[in-house]
Amino acid sequence: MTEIRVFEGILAANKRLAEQNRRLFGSRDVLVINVLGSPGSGKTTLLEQTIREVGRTSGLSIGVIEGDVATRRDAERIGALGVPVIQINTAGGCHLDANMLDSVLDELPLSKIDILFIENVGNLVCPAGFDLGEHAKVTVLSVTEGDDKPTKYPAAFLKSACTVITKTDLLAQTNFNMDVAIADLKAINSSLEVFQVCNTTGDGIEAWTQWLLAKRNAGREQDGGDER
Amino acid sequence: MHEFTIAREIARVAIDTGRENDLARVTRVTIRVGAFGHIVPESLTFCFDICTKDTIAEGASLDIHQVAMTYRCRDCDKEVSIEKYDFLCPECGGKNLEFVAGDELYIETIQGEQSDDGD
Repeated sequence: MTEIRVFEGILAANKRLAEQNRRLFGSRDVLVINVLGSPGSGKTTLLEQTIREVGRTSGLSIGVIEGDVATRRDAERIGALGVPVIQINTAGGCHLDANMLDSVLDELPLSKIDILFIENVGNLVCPAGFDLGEHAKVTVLSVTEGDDKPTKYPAAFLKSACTVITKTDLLAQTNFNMDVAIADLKAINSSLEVFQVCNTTGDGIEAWTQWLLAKRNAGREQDGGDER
Repeated sequence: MHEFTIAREIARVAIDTGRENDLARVTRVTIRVGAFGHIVPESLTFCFDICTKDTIAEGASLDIHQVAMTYRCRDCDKEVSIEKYDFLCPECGGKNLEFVAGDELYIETIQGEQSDDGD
């Protein structure tokens, strides 16, 4: 009997492609954010609001890659705002991987993009496990999903740099306890930044986009990623 | 669903490593998986058996060493396992936690029979 010590990451092939993507993003000076969250949590609406706010306050240009099982609906919504957008349909796949991303990157004018959002397939489980080459993961959590979702699906929140809690205008109509949600999020990931946003009224958008712009500036100074 | 992707990668590494080391057969693959991987062992084993069919790793056992969500409690300074998904220190009930381990996902060892093994 022969025993071979391997100690190789099971997703090493994905990791290698992700590092290749990250080097490409670095060479083109693009901050890349991988956006996770349940279906209906408000990921696309947050991106619409963010595109408006960043355009208004900084003049930086944004690009978006949309991941969905099917349809071009999200790409059409983002495209209507005049920013470059690519739609990936996974045809049943529950997450994006580094290879899917690699295969569409040459369709984007990366040199003209300052911040690239990758909106992952709506799902709090699998997307957390696959590095795409992003500089940070951001998880969107809506008030209507319930304050228990961080502890039920902790991996996405552990691996994120930031969580944006959306639909805060519906707090009075739900039993969502903001203090409980934030305490759980901080227990899972003590370095997590948490923002509260209402996409309908625009409340809280400014604080979130300022975090984003600071991240962009910090990334340019360090010239490196911090993907966990 | 991501168990299938993970099983396929384990099978690929097991078969490639087996060939590189002149194994006639891979008999056992040992992996380490953290609780944050959200992987169902039964499902992973089922998918691994499918991915190794008609290869040198067909019939190999998949030993899954699970790593609990492990945190250090900053209040009582103990390293604790979060078994109940409550993210409370089981020693003092605090929530002032610092992540330590539980996001592992790697292959440790591959065992097999050399091509010229007598038995």
